[in-house]
Amino acid sequence: MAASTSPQPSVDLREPSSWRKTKNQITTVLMVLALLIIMVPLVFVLVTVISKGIGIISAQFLTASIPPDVLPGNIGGMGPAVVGTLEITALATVMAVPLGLLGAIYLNEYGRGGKNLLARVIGFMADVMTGVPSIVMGLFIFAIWTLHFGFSGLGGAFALACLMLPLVIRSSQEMLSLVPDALREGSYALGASRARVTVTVVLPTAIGGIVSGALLAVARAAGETAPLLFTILTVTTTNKNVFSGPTTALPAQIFANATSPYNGAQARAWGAALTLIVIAFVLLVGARIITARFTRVGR
Amino acid sequence: MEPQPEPNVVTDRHTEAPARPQAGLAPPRQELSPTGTHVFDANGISIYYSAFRAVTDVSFSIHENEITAFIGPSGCGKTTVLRSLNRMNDLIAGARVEGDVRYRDAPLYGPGVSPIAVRRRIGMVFQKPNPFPKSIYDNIAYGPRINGIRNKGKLDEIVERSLQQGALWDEVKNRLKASAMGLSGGQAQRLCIARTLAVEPDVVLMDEPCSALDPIATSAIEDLMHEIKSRYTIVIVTHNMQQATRVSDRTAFFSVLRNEESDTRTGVLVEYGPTQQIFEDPHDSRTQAYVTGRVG
Amino acid sequence: MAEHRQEFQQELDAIEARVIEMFGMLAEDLTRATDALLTGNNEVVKLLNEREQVIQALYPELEALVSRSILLQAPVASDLRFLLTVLRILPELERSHSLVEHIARRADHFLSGELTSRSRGLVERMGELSSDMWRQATDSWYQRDASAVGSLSERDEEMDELHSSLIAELASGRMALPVTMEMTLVARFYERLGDHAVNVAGRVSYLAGSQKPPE
Repeated sequence: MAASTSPQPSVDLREPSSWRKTKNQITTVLMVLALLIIMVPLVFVLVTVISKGIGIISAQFLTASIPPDVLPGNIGGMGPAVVGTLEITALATVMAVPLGLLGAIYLNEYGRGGKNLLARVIGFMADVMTGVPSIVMGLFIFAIWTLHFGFSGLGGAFALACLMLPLVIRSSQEMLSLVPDALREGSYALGASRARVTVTVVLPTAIGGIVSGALLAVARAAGETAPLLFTILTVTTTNKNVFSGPTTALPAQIFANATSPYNGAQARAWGAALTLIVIAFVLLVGARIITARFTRVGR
Repeated sequence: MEPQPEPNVVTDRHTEAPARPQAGLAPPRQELSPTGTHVFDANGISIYYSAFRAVTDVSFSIHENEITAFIGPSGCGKTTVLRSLNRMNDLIAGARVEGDVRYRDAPLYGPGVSPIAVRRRIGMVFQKPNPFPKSIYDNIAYGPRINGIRNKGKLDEIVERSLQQGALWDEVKNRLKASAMGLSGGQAQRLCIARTLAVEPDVVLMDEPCSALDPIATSAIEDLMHEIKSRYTIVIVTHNMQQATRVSDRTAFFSVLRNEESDTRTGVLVEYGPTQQIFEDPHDSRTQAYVTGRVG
Repeated sequence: MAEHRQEFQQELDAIEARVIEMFGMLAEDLTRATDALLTGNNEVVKLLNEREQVIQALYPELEALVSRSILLQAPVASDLRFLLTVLRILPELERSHSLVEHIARRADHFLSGELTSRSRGLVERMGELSSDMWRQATDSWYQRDASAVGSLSERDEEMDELHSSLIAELASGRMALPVTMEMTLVARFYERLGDHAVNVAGRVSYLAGSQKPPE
C-alpha cells in the first residue's frame, strides 16, 4: 500500500478521546485487586494446612487407630475418623440425594406454573432449610433421634442428610430447568407419558449437572462439624456398626484434637484437616470432570 | 367441499375452433376428492388459554393423504389449532378446547381419551429441530421403544426404514452411534421427521418445519413431504406462502379478528379451499389482501 | 391498516395506465377509420400510421414490464390474474389496431364514391357496431366486469350477420371489381375486430375472479 501518497481518509475511526479508556483501566485494576484480596485467605488456609499437615500424612496415619492425646504426632493416626467420615457421609448421601432428586423432579416437572400447592410448599421449605444453621440441624436430630436411640453414625448421617437435602433439591432443580422445553415437547409428541419423558429425556440430559451438584453437596456435608457433635459423640475407636453406638468422624476429631493442649494431638488435628481438604478436593474435581464429560457428550 | 369450478370456455372466433379454455392455469396437481375420507373434522371449535380466547368458531375438515396448509398472520391461532389436533395444548396450563373435534369420527377430547394414545397416532415436527442429546440411532429408536419394541433386529430395521423415509439414511448410515447433536440444521430436522415417522403415525403435523432452514434444506424437506404423502396425512403451518403453494393441496387462511369495543382479538378461519383456488382466485377480500402481501 | 408493497402497486398501476392508453387509442382510431372510409378522406391515414408506431412500441414495453413484475414480485391472486391477462390481451389490442389502420388505408374518394347505398349502410352499421363493441370491451376492462363477455358474444353474432349480408351484396356484382375486392377485405376486418373484442372480454372475466369488483 502506497502509504505516503494515499489520501487522508474522510472518516476518523480512532477512539474518541474521553474518560472511557481511563475508567476501563481503573476498573480493571480494582477488579484484580479484589480478586487478590479474596485469594489471600484461601491461599493462606491451604498453605497453612498443607504445611502443617503434610508431615504427618502417611498410609499409617490414614489407617491407624487414634491414640491418646499425649502421644506424639507420629504415633497412631486418624483411621477411625477416616472410616467414620466415609461411612457417615456415604449414608447421608444415600439418603439425601435420591430424595432430593425426586423432590427436584417433582418441583420442576410437575410443579410448573405455580398452581401446584404441594410443589410450592416443598420449594418454600427447601429454601428455608438452606438457611438453617448446621448446629440447629444437629440439635434437631439430637432431640428426635439421639435422645431415643442413642449416639450413632446413623444419627450423624441424618443430620448431614438434612443439611444436604435442600442443596441437592435446589441444584438439581436448576439443572432440570436448564433442559430445553423443546426436548420435552419432542418426547411428548412421540406419545410418551410425563414419567417417561422425565426419565428418558430430561434426566439423561441433566444428569451431568445433577451429579456435580450432588458431589458439591457431599463435599459440604463431609466437612460439617456441628451436627455431628450432638449425634455421634466423638469417640476414638472405630465403630464398625454405623447404625448403633457412638462413632467418630474427621471434622469432629479435628475439633476434639485441636482443643487439646498436647502437641501430638494438635499435629494429628492438622493431619485430619489436610485429609478432609483432600477429600473435598477430590469430590470437587470429580464434579468438574463429570460436568465437562457430560457437556462434551451432549454437544 | 364444492367441486372445482368449470373453466370458462369461450369459442375463439379467430379459428372457429372450440376453446382453448379461459381458465388461467393448468388443472390442479392432484384431483381433490370432495368426498374423500375425513381424517379430522372440527366443528365450531374455540380454544382458550385460561380466559383468553385464542381461536373462535373454527370449522374445517382435513382429508386423508393430502397436505393441508394453515397460513395467516402472527397471532391468528394457526399453531394453536394445529396443536389442538394432537392434544399438545394439554401441556399448557389453562388451555381448553370447546366444540367438537373428531379424529376419524371419534371425539378427540372425549372422556376416557388418552392424549398419549392420540399422540402415538398423530405425530408432530416442530419449528426448531429438537433432536435428543442421544445417538442418531437412539433418537429414531426412541418412539418404537416406547411402544414396547425391544428386539434389536427389529429396531435396526425400523431405524433404517425411517431414515430412508426421512431422506437421511445415506448421510448417516455409517455413524448411527454418533451424537445427533452434531447434525446440521437441515439434517437435524430430517432426523426429527424420521423420528416421527418411526412410530408409523397416521398423521404428521408440522409447525413451520422449514423456517429455521436454508433453501436447499427446505427443498429437501418439501420433496420428502411429497414422497410420504401417499402414506400419511400432513398438516403444515407455514409463514411462507410459496411453500404453501409448492406443497399443499388445500390451504386454510386464518386471520385476527379485532373487537374494537372490548379491545380483544381472537383468531378466526377466513377461507379454506383448494390451494390453487385460494392463491389464484380467493373468494374473501381478506384472503386476497393477505396472500398478495398488501395487509399482514 | 397501511397497505404494503407500495412499489409493486405502483408498477401495477403503471401497467394499467398503459393498457388503458392502448384501449383509448384503439377506440378513437376505430371511429376515425370508419369515418375516413365512408367519406373517402384519407388525411387521417398519416395520423393512424403514427399511432400504429406508438402501439408497436408500447407492446414490447408492456410485455417487458409485465414479465419483470412476474419474475421479481412472485404475484398471486388478483395480481397474478392481472399480469397474465395483460399478456393475453396485448396481442388482441395490437392486432386490432393493425386492422383499424388497414381499414383507414382503404379510404379513397374513388372507393367511397362507388359504394352502393346498401353496402354503404352495412359498412356504416358495422363501423358503429365495432366501435360500440370495443367501447364495451374497454368498459369491461375498466370495471373488471365478468358479465360483458356474454352480451358481447351476442353482439358478435349480429356482426357476423352484417358480415354475411355485406358479402352477399358484394357478390351481387353491382360494383366494380377492384371496389368489390377492397370491400371484401374491409368486411373481414370489421368482423375480426368484433371477434377480438369478444376475446378481450373473455379474458376480463378470468381477471374479474369471484370477488365483487370494487365500488
